[in-house]
Parts: sequence; C-alpha cells; structure tokens
Amino acid sequence: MGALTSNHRSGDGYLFFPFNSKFFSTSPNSDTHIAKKPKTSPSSMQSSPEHSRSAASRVYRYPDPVNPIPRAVHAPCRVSRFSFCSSLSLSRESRVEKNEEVIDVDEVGNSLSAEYDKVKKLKESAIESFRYLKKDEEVIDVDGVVDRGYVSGNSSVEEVVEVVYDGREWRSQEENGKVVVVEHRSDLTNTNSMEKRIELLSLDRKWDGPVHKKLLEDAGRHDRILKSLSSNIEINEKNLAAFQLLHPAKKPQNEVKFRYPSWFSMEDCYMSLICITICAAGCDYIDALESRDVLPDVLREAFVPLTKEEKAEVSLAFSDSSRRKVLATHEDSNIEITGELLKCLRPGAWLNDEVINVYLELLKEREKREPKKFLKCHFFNTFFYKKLIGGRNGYDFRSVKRWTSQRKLGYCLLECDKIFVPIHKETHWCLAVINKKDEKFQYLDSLKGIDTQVLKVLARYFVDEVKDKSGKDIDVRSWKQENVVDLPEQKNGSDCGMFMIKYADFYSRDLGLHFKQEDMPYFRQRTAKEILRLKAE
Amino acid sequence: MSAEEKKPPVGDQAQSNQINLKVKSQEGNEVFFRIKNNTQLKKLMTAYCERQSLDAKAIVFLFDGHRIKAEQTPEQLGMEDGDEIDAMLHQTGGGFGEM
Repeated sequence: MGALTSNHRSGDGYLFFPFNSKFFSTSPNSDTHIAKKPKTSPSSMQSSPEHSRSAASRVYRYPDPVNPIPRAVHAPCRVSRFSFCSSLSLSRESRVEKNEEVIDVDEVGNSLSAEYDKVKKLKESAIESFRYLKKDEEVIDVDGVVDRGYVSGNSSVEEVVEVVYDGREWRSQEENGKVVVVEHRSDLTNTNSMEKRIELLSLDRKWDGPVHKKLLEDAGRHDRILKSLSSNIEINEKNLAAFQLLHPAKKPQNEVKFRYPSWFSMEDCYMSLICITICAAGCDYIDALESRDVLPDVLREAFVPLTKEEKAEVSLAFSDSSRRKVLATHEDSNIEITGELLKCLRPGAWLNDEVINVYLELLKEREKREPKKFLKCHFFNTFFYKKLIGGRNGYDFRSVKRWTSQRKLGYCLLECDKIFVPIHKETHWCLAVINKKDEKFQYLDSLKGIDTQVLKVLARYFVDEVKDKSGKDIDVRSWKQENVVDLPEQKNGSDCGMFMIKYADFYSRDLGLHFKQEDMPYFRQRTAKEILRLKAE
Repeated sequence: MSAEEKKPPVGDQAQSNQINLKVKSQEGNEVFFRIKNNTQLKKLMTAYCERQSLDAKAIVFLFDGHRIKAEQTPEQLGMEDGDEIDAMLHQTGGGFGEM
C-alpha cells in the first residue's frame, strides 16, 4: 500500500518531465526490466517516493502490455484516483492535498484556452493513467481487501459507487460539467468518515474489473490504431535499453518538442503516453513506421486521380479539333503524337504502337528520374520482337544485335532487373518480361493466353545477348518460364494494350498487379495526360 | 566516311559522300538505296513507299531500333555503308481477333 502512495505522490511530477530534460536523460540504472517488475512485487521497487530513480524509468513502464487500453478511457477520471488514494491509507494531509487539487482543476477545467490549464489537465490525466496501470497490476492484492470490505458494506455506499462509475463513463465521452458534480459527491462522501471511504474504495475496486473489460472492448472497437501502436511499443520496449545506451542524450528534447503540440490536440491521455514512448524509442521506431507506409504510398501513386484541369486537357486532346495537331513530340524517340493517334486512348479504342512506345519511353525516363523508386528496367519497343522472330528460321538475333549497344542505350542492358518486351499478335497486345531479378521469363496475356514459344525465343535471345555484349556464357535452363495466369483479366475486346502497358508500369514499380478491368477508363485518361505532358508519374 | 573509303560503293562513279543503305521489310524483303550522306532520309522513305506501293503513314523506319525522322540525314545518324534500315508496319490491337 505504501508503495502505491509513494507512486501517487511522485506522480505529480510526471506531467512535467516531458518538458524538462530530465525526462530522457536516464541514468544507466533505469532498466526496463526493473521498471516492469512492479507487476509482481510493487512495494519493494517503489518504496520511497522521492527516490533518485529518474522519471524516465517510470515512463517506460507506462505502455506496459497489460491492458493498455483501459487506461485511455479511464484516464481523466479523478474519482477513481481519489478512492484509490484512500485505499492506501494515506495520511490526512496528502488526502486534503488531493481534494484541493481536484477542485482546483474542476474550477478551471472548463476554460481550455489558458495553456496552464491544459498542462494541468494533461498532468492529471497522465497521473490517472499511471494509477490505473498500477491498479491493473495489483488486482490480486485488492481482491483481499474487497472481500473484507464487502462484509461491512451497505447499499447506500454501493449506490454512490455506481454514480461514480456513471460519472466516469460520462467523463470519457462528454464535457466536464457532469463529472464535477460526481466528483464533489464523492469528495463529500469521503470527508464523512474514514470507514466509509475504505468501503467505497473496496467496492470501487471490486467494480473495477468488469468496467475495465467493458471499456477495453469499447476502446478496442473504436481504435485499432491504438492496439497496433501498443503492440509496436511492446516490441520496441525490448530494444529500449540498448537504444538508450547508443543514443544517450541527443534526441530527447527535440523530439519532445516535436511531439508537444500533439499533447494538446489529443484528448486521450493514453495516446499522449504512446507518443512519449515513441519519442523514447527514438527515430528507429518512426523510421520503421515510415518504411512500412512506403508500399501503400507507392500503390496510391499508381491511382492518383486527375485534376479538373488535367481532365479538361485530355478531353480537348481527344476532341476532333485536335485531330491533325501534333500534341506531343518525344524528341529522343522521334515520335510525334497527333490528336489522331492519341484518340486511341479513348474508351473502347485499340491502342496503337506509337502511343505504347511513347509511354514505354516515359516509363524509362521516370525510372531515370527517380532510380531509387523504380526497378532498373529496359523497355523494348513494339517492333523488337517482330524483328527478333523475323527471318527464315523464326529467330534472327543479328537483326536486333545493334539495338542494345551501350552507346545507344546509355546503360547496359544486362544490368537491368527487368526487360520488358511488348508482343504484338495480329490484333492483340501481350507482354513478355525477361525478369533477371527473379530469374525467370514471363508471359502476360490479359486474355489469359499461353505462349511458350515467346518464352523460348526470349530465353534464347537473352543467352545470345549476354554472350554478345559481355562475352560470357549464361545458363538460363534453371530460369523459370512462366505463363502468368494470376493477373488482372481483360473483360472486353479493346483494352489489351492498356493492360499490357500497365503490367509494365506496375512491374517496373516492383508492385503486384493490383488493378482490374474497372480501372481501365482511368488508366486511359491518365496515360493520355502523361503523354501530353511527356512525363509518367 | 572512313568506312565508305574502305569499301567504295558498287557504282563506278561513286562520290565520296555517298553510301549504300538497305531497307528491309518486316517480311524480310530487301531494297537497296544509294544516298548522299547529307541528304534527308525523307527521300529514301518516299522512294521506298512508292516502289512498294505503300502508304507512308503505315510504315515506320527504324535504324537500330530507333525511329528515323524524315528530316534526319545518314550523317546525323552515324550510318555507314551497308547499314540496314527496318521498314515496319504500324501496329494496333485491342484483344479479340484472329490469332
């Protein structure tokens, strides 16, 4: 009991430590394992209130995996704190202090404009959350007290307790007003007699469990982010001690400053505590968060909606008035896109080689622009394969041998992770990929066709190409020749070209083919825009 | 230029700035042209299309896989005697069709 009291007292300091350097400049003896210990033996660890152990060690204990969420909900409730204190058989002095404090805050609590008030509030909620944590940890101890208290308990006290809980729930959702009343009542109750107080406390405690559970459920339902964060923190806690040693005093203050405004924007105290812990865990944690977000971001980039202006630009380009105009000239490939040619990007139209070739050029330029973001790729034009399979034997390496000289390309073909080969078949567009990264040859047909011949030819070509350019013999017999069947499927008779260039687009982003037939109208517009601007995003 | 001096064109009164170029169709048929180094390739293209009875718009001329612009000259493209130009038919496709 004494241990808890001490915790409470020193808890007043909790609010402030994020704002002074003490918070993070932890002494070496502050070790997460010790901090967690109170679960099993609380009194031994925290016997002296003004112990020299720094605040940080206590902070690290906050996001203890045990029931993190209930704290969030309960945090702002002062009543529980009060009863809690009394259970600890506090000295009268300290209790009076507490009462004063509660009233004080209630009086000013309604005006959030003054920063001091905010700080005070935060402080309180922070304190409370700590206390709840401890409560959770000591449920076993409390049960004994409850049993004793229950015998002498009377119905009136029980009622009060219920009101208190009402108030608590109110508090978690609504404004201060209601809570103030409840708290005053409980204050009065407390001043009546010591016995009643103890009873109240024990009952209070007894009720604690179910409410916790209920609120835990609520919180879990409402806030998945909290859960994931807390599990992340759990993981990070393990690395915390080591991390502190590596980065002793550098970051704390900056990061607290950085996070500081979020304290005020967040009503939820627990959220704030998480933030502190994130700060404590350091940049590593934030980095990890960011890197995890990369993938969705990349995927989002593939579906950025067109702005109004862009849409207008595209529809103007599709109009008959633009038919004879040259709308875009790609200098490097000497391709001029007229309105007539671009019109093939209108819904239902068949894509022509010019548009496809320009777009593939743009994909290459995109990769050159941001090499880190995209795989190193080469995009053959639509004539390559036709040339390669020309000649009498259905295979003519000589005719394309000079297409890929380093001087012509500006890079070495063999360095590329993926080499894209558009396949034109009478009236159908498909895509073949020499996938050096995964050591396979792939054939993608939006109509789910299969063509092992293409794969054989490309395997042969690649061997010849490597031999020709680097003089080395490469063995691709172990490379898989794959007819990709698990791919977005074309559901009409006009979109195969669009599917084909999007296979190339997504693969060069190193993404799975996360699109479908329904995206084609958007992709057509987007491609038109990108060709008009001569820049693929 | 140097290559040309080593291998003078077949014609006896070949000027020093003339080269022989081969235009190869998709089907593998070859047509030979002699052209001045600084003459725009437009001339060669129209001559080829006329001879083959083709619409110039239906054909793409490629040199080492790179599109040739009508205004470019052999010199600009670094063409040498005996080099090959590919005459490719434009392609289009949507999906269903005879395959």
